Amino acid sequence: MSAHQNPTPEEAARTLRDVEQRRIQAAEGSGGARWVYVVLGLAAFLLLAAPDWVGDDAQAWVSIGYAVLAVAYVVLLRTRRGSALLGHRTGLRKDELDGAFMRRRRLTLLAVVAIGLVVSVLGARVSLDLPYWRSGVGALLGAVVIFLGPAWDRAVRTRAVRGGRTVTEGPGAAR
Amino acid sequence: MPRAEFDSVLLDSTRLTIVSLLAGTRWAEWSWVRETAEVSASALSKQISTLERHGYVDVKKGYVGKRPRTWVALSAAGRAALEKHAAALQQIVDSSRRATEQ
Repeated sequence: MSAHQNPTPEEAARTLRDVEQRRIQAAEGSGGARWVYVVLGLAAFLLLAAPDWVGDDAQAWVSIGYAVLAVAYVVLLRTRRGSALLGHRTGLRKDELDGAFMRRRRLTLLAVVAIGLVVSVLGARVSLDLPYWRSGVGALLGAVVIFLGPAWDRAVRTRAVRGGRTVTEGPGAAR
Repeated sequence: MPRAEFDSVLLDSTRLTIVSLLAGTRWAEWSWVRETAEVSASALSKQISTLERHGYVDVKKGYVGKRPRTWVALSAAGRAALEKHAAALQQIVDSSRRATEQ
């Protein structure tokens, strides 16, 4: 765009589209480091598999450890330095996110955590014929967190930002 | 038709890119801005200095462990300037659309 004259409608639409794309790029770039997902996946595995290997007594300690890890993660994310430690290169603005989408996401996460807790508590009491079934479930959940976590997290962040605003309409606007 | 009022600082495409990237963030690492905007370190440094001089961005330096880091954040003035600039662009798009419809 020239600094001395008004842009044409096509140039203006293209520039607006670029501004929108850059905003979405910020959401895509706000993910954490791979090692964070590895730690969270291993923690999920330990939470579920502990009773198989060290007995039911370990369940409480592992649960406390997992809770401490989750709280530390959330606290670190609230500061620039903490986020940088976790591999985040940008911090997303909350008002950039679609409120309804984020509420649905929070409810889904709560449901998953609740199901996980119910399964781990019931798993400590219920004995299936299948040996080490809790370790199997833990390994599956851990693998999902480690291998699919980054892509899922990126997709959610991008969707949350895209859902919050509409792309500017006009001549040459992307459809 | 009222004349669209552009922000003179944001008429530069690199500065507009930087401000647009920062618009969705509370802060961003300097190295991330450089990579995403696809500009050299010296070019980014120059543009960030210009934006900082106009009060559009805040720059903070610090350490994470022993590594130095620089974070850039869009100020309230920078956000207002971007909104004004985008509104001016939108005005041109809307005027063109109305003219086409008539």
